[in-house]
Amino acid sequence: MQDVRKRTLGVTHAFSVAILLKTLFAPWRRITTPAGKGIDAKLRAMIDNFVSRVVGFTVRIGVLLIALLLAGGTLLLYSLIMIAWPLMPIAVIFCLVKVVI
Amino acid sequence: MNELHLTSLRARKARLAVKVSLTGGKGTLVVALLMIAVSILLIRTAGDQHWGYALMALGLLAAIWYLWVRRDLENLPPSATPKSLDDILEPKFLASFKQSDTQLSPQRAWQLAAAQWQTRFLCNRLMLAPDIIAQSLSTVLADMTQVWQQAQQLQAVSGSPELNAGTVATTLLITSEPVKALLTQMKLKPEDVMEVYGWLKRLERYMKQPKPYFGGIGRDWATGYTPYLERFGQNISNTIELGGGHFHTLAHNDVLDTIIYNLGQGNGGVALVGETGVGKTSLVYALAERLLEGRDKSLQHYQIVSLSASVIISSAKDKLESLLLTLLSEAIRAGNMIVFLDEAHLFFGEGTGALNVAQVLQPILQKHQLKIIATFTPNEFQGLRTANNAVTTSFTAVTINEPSPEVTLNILEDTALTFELQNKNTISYQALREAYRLSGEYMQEDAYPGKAISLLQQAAAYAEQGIITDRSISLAIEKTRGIKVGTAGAIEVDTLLNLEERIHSRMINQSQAVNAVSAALRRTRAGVATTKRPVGGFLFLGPTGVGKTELARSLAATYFGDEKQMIRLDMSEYQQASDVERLLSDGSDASKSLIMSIREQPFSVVLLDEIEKSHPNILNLLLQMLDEGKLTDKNGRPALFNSAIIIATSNAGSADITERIAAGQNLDNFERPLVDKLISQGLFKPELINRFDEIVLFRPLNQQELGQVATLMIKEVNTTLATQNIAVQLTDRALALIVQKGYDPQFGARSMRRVVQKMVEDTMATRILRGEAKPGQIVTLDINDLGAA
Repeated sequence: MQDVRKRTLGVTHAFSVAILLKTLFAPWRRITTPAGKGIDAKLRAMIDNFVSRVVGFTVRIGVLLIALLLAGGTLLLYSLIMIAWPLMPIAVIFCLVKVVI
Repeated sequence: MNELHLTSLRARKARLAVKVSLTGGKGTLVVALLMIAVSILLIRTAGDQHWGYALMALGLLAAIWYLWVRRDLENLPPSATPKSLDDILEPKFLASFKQSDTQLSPQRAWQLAAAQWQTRFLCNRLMLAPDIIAQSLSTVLADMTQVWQQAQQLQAVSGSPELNAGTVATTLLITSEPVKALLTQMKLKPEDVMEVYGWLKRLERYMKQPKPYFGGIGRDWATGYTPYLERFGQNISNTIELGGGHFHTLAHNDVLDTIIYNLGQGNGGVALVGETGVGKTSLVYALAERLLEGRDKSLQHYQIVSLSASVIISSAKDKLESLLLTLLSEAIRAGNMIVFLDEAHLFFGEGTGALNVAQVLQPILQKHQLKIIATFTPNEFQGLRTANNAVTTSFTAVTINEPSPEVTLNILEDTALTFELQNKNTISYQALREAYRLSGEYMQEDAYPGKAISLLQQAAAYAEQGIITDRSISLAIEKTRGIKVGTAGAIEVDTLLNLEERIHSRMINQSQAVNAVSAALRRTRAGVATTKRPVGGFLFLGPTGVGKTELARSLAATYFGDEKQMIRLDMSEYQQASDVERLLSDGSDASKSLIMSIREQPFSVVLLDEIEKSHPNILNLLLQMLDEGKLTDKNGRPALFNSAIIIATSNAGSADITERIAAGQNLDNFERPLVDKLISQGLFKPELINRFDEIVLFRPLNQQELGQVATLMIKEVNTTLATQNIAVQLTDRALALIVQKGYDPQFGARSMRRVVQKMVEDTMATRILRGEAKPGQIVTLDINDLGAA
């Protein structure tokens, strides 16, 4: 059980899940435009910064989804192995019976 | 717990694991999965289901085998409630036991342990031959009871859940009396074995610890780009990340906490102040690793980038400030950067190759816009404080002290393993111990552990058959420092044992002085004398021209290898208080000083002529030199005299000596009364006199001795003429004339050399030029042949 937990956590670590969740809506690589004077400049800065956040969000959410899939897959695979382990000898006998019959 | 059940399930599994370890690899798993996949295909496509099921059965069996080997056989943790030794023995070590080893002797236990890597590690480090150790160990079965008990105690102290070969081997080495005797012969003690055991345990812990987590692929996506910093700086964090962390003992854990606290609190700058070699840069590397691991919330996953003054100067040309501003702005914008200024004094206009960017850095530091770590030596920091106090107050100064001897040795041990990987050699424990000792004695200008590490690096060039030994370390310091520290070789031993005779081949009589300096050298080279003082400190008293300087010169030529190995100071040139500065100059003012001379050639004779004429302040400095074997330059850096012989000469009291000799008395036991008289006359202070190892009185030479001096000089002339295959000899009358002309009641034999030059060398020169002296000829000069004196 501990091994399954360790491997699943390994996947979340490799994909920086905690960091990506914390910074999900942060601008991409801190690329921001400082708000200038006048409505035009302020509006332009707002749009630029919004775009940076959208780019950041898109990349992060994409990576988070991949991480989720891989972590889920790891969890499933190792859980299956744990469940299948006691059943494997029975499966072997079953296969051998099928060969004979 | 002394029983060993080699038929227990754990013991059998351990043996089986070793036998089948090759079949438990990833290849087996791949084959199993392939067979299962193909079998499913066969069954589903309804070709031949029998073959499909047969293949699946095989695939499942292979999978079962793989899982069993990996999860069960190769994973045999020690029992939580052990009842016998096989419950706690490390599986690979346990597997090496044969069925007959249920009862085994210390010798057999050693043989089993010697096959494991932990024991090989111990033997390689301590330079022990496993076979010789085995021969020294007991073959009595009952003796093993105590060994098992002590091994379990050692295991408990080390905090290890398993009893492995290293622990058993260490116990055997430190409990067996014959082995202890063997270790003593090799200049090792049980404490040394325990030190290497500690080293092994640290390595085992490092090997078992999981790979550090540095943040993953998305770590830096919320921080800014840093193209200029990547180009002009060195990202220490990246270096550590690529290397997967590094194995080291950290000397300054408490300091690391202080730095993290200060930077985490928003204090912009931290100045690490410590002597060269104390570990300031290593501390920054350790900080980078700790921040990458993200354990400190306030600075989680921050990165450290190092800026070098020389790189910036060479890259920026005339746009220095602009480049530095770009770099610092980039670091501020990135939001996760700590800028590291190594040798930070170079950024504030101090020293060669420096730039002054105080105006750029100061506002950033004061506003706490950027986290900066800077390193300084105490002198550099003090210099900056005097020149620009505002900058120093912007930093939080953290003092880094030398680590304790134990921690220093641990650092050396861990560093040695890194060096071994880089240089493909092995470093013995004795080498590390020697590097610690010798760097402490002869590299006092730097701090631990840096100086010992530096010596270890230099010793790589002197490795013997790929092994760096204590001899490699001695050779390294001898070659780089020009001193002698290793065991004296056969030639040197011969010189030392016959030093008096060899000196007397160059100078006449003054046996007491010759004996005194010879004995001092023998004491030092035999390792009897302390290395914290000069090899010897002598005060030679006597009239002019009796051989005081000649003895120093002869000693330099005979033992130190060359007359040039003599540092001679005419102390009459140091009569003013201000001359102290000249004596202690570090060379930055381009004048040659005693400090510079001894740094250039620490293995020499230091001759202080006419010492009584120097200023009292200078004499006070000599107290430190004679007492501690070092002088400190104006920058606080020491210069060592512990490989030098100090000889001070003085004519003071020569009238008393001459009078005594003229009255037909000898000089035995006359030193003390004469010295007391000189002290009462105020010529010397008692504290200076007491610091000399010996005070030697030189008596005037008699006629016979003067004749011998003249003969020695003629011998020197013949050595020069030997290249032309010509020799010169004097009749007795001629020699007597030279003695008569060369002796002066006031200046002794000082004018003898000039007389020989005028009367003999000039005559021979004329004859050679006229063709009267030809190769193969021995020219005999009589009284009428000699030139005018």
